[in-house]
Amino acid sequence: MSISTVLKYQIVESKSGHKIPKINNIHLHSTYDPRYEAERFILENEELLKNNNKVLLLGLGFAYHAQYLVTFLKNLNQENYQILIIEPNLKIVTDCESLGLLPAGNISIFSGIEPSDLFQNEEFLEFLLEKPAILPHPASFNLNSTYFKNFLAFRSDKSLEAVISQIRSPEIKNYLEQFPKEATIDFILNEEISKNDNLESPLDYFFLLLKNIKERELGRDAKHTNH
Amino acid sequence: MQNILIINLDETNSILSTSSLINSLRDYFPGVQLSFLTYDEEKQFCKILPTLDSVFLIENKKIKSYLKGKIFPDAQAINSLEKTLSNVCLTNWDSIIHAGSSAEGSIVSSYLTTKLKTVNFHGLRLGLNKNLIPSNEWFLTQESLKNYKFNPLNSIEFLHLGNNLFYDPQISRKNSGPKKIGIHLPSNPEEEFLPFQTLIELIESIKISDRYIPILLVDLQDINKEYFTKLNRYFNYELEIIYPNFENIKKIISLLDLLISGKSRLKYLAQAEGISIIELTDNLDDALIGPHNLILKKGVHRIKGTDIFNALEGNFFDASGDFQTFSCIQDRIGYRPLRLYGSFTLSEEINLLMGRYLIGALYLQERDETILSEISELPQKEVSSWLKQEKEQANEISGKLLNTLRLLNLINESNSYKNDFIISLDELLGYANAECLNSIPILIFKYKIENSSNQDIKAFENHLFALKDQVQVVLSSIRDLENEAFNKKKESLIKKAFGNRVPPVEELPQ
Repeated sequence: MSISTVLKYQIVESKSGHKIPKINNIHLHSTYDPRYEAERFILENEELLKNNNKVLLLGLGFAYHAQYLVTFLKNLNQENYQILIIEPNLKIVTDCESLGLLPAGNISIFSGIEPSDLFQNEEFLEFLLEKPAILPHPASFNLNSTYFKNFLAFRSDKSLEAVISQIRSPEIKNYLEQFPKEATIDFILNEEISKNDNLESPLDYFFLLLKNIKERELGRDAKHTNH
Repeated sequence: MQNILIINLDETNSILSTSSLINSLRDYFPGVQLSFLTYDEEKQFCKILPTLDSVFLIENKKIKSYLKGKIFPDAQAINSLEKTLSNVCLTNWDSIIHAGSSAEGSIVSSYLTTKLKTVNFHGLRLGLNKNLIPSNEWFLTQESLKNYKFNPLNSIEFLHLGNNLFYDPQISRKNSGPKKIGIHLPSNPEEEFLPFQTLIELIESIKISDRYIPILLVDLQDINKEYFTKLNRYFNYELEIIYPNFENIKKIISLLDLLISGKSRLKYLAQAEGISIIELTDNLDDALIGPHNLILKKGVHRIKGTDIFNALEGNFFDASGDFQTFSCIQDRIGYRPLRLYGSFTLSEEINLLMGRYLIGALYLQERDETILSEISELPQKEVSSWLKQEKEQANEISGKLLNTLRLLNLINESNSYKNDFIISLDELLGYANAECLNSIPILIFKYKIENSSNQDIKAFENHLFALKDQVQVVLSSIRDLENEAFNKKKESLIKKAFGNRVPPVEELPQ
C-alpha cells in the first residue's frame, strides 16, 4: 500500500474566501488566494503545456489548478485536449465534486487506486501511450510523496505468471503455460519463436506475428515497386 | 453472396495499389462483401480505397509500445492483437487474399488459414518451416522473378492472375470541353521528375492551349506552402493549387481528365478512379500500367516540360531529351508497356517481349502472335543475333539438365556421383543469372527447390522434370520467333523481287 493514511481531514477557507482541503495539517492550496496561485502555477509550466494537448496531472486538491489548465488547453486546442488526474485520496475528489469545484471539460480522474492497479487499466495505459505532459501539483505530490514516487518508478511485472494472469483468451493462456515459469514474453519471442522451425499451431504464427510487429519500423513508406 | 478478406500489411503505396484488385473483384463478383485487414496507421488510407464493407485494424503502434515500454504490461499487446484477429475470425470467409508481400502479411495469412481450415487462400503465406508458400503458380512465378532484370509482368497482373482475374481497368468517360489536367506538385523544388523548371515549362505550355485547364495537386500529407506560393507568384497567382485531404481527394481526382505525376500517392487514386495518367519515372517497373496511360522514363537529364506537353498532345516526334516514352497496350495477360519513343537496347526489348510470350505459353497456353510480329519488325540482324545466342544457350541448358537428371539417377546406385551431381546442378542454376529466356524456368526451379519443405530425391526429381518441360516450352517459343522472323524475311524478299504483283506459287522461294 502506498496511499498515505489521512489522520486529520479538514476543509478550511482561504483569505480570499475559497474552500481548501487541509490534510494532516498540510494545506493543499494557498491560504491567501488559491486561484491566483493556480494561475501562476499554470503559467510557470506554459512551455511544457504549449507542446502537448494531453496532460497527466498528479494531484487534484480542490482543482483550482485544473480549472486554469482547462482554460489554457482550450485556448490552444479548442476541444482537442485531454486531462487525466491521479488523486490517491478518494474523499478529496468527492468533496471537490460536491462543492462544485471540478471544472467541466475533457477530464478523467483516477482516485484511490494503487499504481500497480493503475498500470493495468486499459484507459489509463492508452492515455500514457500518447506521451502526455506530466504535471505534479506540488502540495498534493508532497503530501503523497510515497504514492507518487512509486507511481513514477513503476515497472511492469514481466514475469510469465503476471502476463498469463492478465491475458483474456483462455487459448493463449494455455499456450503460454507450456513455457517455463521464469520465461518472459521477450524470451519467448526472441528465443522460442525465433528458433522454432516447426510452426504447428495457429498460436505459433500469432506469436511470430507479435515478434515481427515489435521489430517493424513504424510509418514505413518504402519505395513500392510493381515488380 | 461471397465474403472476401484482403490482407495487406505492406507500406502505404502497396495498400493503395490494391485499388485495382478491389475494383476487379467487384466487377467479377457482383454483391461481394469485401473486407480489408491492415495496420491502424493506414486507417485513413483505407478510407480512400474503393468502397470496402469492413476494415480490421491491427493496432501496431500500441502493440509495439506495450512490448517495448518498461511500464506497460506485455499482456496488453497480446490482448490487443488477439482482439483484432478474433474479430476477423468471426466472419465466415469464402476467400482470403494476401495482396501484399510483407513477412507480417504472410504470417497473419498462415494464422488465419490454420485456424479457418476450409477457407480458399490466394497469395503468399508462411509454411511450417517458415518457408514461403505461394498458393499457385502465379504467386510462385512472381516470387521467383522478383529480382529478374526482364520481369515480364507487373505486380498488379500477378495479383489478378493469381486470383483468377483478368486485369482490365475501366476508363472513366468525361464530358467534352477543355480537359482538366491534374499536375502532381512535389514539395521539393529539386524533385527528380517534376522539378521547378519542368513545372514552369509544362504549366506555360498548358496555359497557352485553350484545350486544357491545369490543376496543381499537392500529394496527401505533403506540405511546402512556401515553395507552392513561389510557384504561384511566378504565374502572377493565376494558378489553382489544391491541397487535398482524405475527405475530398477521391472527388477531386475523379473530376480530372488526366493526371501528370511523378512518384506520388495521387497516381494510385487516379488509377482507381479510371483517370489516365502520364507518369514520370526512372524505372519502368514502378510505373502503373493501364489503358491510355503514358510512361515517360527519365534518362540522365530531367525531362523538359515541353516534352511532357508533347506527350499530352500525342506528339512523340518532337521530343528533345534522353528519355523513353511508352504507351500501354492490352494483351492476353493484361497490359504491357509499348515503346513509342527513345533509344533502347534491342536485346533487352526482345527479352522483355519474349518473357511475356513465354509466360503466356507456359501458364495460359496462349501464344501471343502480336508479340512475335512486333519483334519481327525490329532490325533482322539483331533479331537473328538474339535467336542465335538464345538457341546456343538453350542447347547448353538442355545438356546440363539431362546430365543433372542422369547423375541424380546414378546417386541412387552410388554416392560417388554426389559431387558430380552437385557440380552439374550448380552449373545449371548458374543460368538463372544469364539473363536469357531460359533464366525464367531456371529461376522458378531454383525458387521451388530453395523453398520446398519436401527435401527427398523424388520431389527433387519432379522439380527437375517440371524444369525440363518448361525448357521445352522455351525452345518452342524460340522456334516460334524464328519462324515468324523467317516469314517476315520471306515476305520482304518477295516484296523486293515482285513488288506488289502477286507471284505464281512456283516462283515463291522455298
